[in-house]
Amino acid sequence: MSKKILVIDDNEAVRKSFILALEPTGYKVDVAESGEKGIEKVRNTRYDLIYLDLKMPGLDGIETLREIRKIDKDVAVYIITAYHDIFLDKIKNATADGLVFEIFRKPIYSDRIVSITKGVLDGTTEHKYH
Amino acid sequence: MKNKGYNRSSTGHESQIEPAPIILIVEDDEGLNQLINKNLQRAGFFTESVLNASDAIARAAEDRDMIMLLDYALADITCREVIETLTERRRMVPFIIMTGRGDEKTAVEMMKLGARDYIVKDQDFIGILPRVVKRVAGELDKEKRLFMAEEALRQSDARYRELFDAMKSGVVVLDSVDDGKDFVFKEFNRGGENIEKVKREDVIGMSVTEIFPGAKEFGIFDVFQRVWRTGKPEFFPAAIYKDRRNPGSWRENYVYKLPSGEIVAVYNDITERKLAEEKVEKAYKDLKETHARLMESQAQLIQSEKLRTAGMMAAGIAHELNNPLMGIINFAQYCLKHTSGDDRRHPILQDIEQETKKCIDIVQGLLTLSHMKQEGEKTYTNGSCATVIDRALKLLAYRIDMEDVTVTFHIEGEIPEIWMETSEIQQVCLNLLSNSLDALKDSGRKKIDIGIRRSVEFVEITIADTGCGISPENMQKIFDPFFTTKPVGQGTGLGLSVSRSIIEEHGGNISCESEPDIETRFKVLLPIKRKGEGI
Repeated sequence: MSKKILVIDDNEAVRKSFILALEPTGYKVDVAESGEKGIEKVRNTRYDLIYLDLKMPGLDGIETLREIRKIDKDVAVYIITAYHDIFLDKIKNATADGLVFEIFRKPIYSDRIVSITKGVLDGTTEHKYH
Repeated sequence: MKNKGYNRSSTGHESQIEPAPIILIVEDDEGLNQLINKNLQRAGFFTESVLNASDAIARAAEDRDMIMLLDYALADITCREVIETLTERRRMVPFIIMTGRGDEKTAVEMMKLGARDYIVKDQDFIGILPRVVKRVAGELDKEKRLFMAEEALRQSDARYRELFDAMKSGVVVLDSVDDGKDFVFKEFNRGGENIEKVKREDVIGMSVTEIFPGAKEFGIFDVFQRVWRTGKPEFFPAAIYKDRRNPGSWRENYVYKLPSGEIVAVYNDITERKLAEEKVEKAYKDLKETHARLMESQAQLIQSEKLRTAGMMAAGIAHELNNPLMGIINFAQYCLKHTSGDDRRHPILQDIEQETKKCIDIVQGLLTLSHMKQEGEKTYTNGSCATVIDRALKLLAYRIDMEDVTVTFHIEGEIPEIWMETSEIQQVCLNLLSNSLDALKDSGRKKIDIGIRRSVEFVEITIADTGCGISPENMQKIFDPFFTTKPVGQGTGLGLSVSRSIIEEHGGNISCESEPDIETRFKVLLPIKRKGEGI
């Protein structure tokens, strides 16, 4: 069974970037254009890795993360954001509340997307470098 | 007759302006005394009678205007003794001697004693007595008037002398020599002594050119000559007088000619006033300058506020560009992967990838720069100085290229990462590099040399340019907020002050050395150990 990845981002270019970059890996990539839709997908499917945008209309990334963690405690969540400063307090609180996630800065190039994903899903340690 | 009896008659004195003297009749023959008395009263005199010498002395000792009509042969003491006693008491009473003896010897004796006149008691003497008394009174009156006139003159002289000396102004009276070729001092008042610090006695009789060698150059000498020639008074307005003795003081002169032909100069030293005026003028100028600076600072504040707004807009735009750029680069990379290396489109796709990467770098640079964080939300990380400088250079690449500046960048040996707020250090580098570019604008040799090396516990970044440099008097001020030598609107005067506070917040140090047009070098030291960590 191939591993499943979910990309939650309101920007289509970003969602497409993930799909295209991950195409050769053979992983299954799902996308959602909002936090709400992403949560819905997490309810129905078990994902191995979630890429999550912070700044979105409706639920923002941190609020979405809180909901996801209620459903799935273990799924690896990578927050991908252009600039996280306006969410700094929320991020700090989330960390304080024991929510586990990583942060990467946008934009991310194809090879990086692949290396992070492989690192998480195939257990290589490459993702620790950024 | 009662001893102290005396009469006063008011008849016939109205015509006299001065109160008439009292005629004190000293005659021990009572009958004769009365006769004389009556006769003189009838002639219009105020009279008093005494019958002996001691009464006469007592009466004469009173401070009254009187003429004593003194009998030569008094019973108690001689008339000589009377006069001598009064003289001892410093009482000079004019007197006329009446004597029975008409000899020459007595007359001489009496005149020597000071008698005003001398009358022989013959049978007509009562008749001529009033005329004699009147003449003597007339003489005395004349003498008195003369004395008073002299006294008045003396007082007036003293008063003017006092006035002359008490004046704060210098007053000089000059007489011409050689038909106006020079002038000598006739008078020099205390005011003048005080102003010139010379003694009157050293000046009187000397010539103007001897005492005031600077007088011709000063211009007052021409004025003296003109006034002496024309007799027209002149005002010589404030000017600086100078000579060997006097390094320079402000004087103003009034010069006029006396009827005697002498020249008078009344003058004042107004150096203090002038100095005070200069001080006021300077204070006013300073105030104006301060005001201008304040207006300029305000303009700069407005300008920096505009820049801030522009910076925020740039950040917003950069932020919005992030997602599409992420799309473009990934799309290009996807296409690259699916295009054969032989395909003519392959290198074009590579170009797209490269150019997009450049865009992303610029956007990252802008975001880092515009993002001046508040204390508490700073994100310190371990970072590389070289990367930070690279980013700053990328942001300035367009300018460097346009302005034809050669930039060299050396990294000496192994440089450890340092704990820093990357965006802030990047801003410092941008500030320093922008300043260098500004300084190179009009230079013939346009070079910027950047160096990074390890210096014990610090990383040392140097940025040196061949630009116009910083003058020694400006050197102390370059880190002051709002200090700028750039035209209004082109510099906020904040760049270096912000840079210094950033560097100091990192526990580092920034310094500058400048040799205008040769080399201006900024040196930044950043500690390798985190702030607060022991070394």
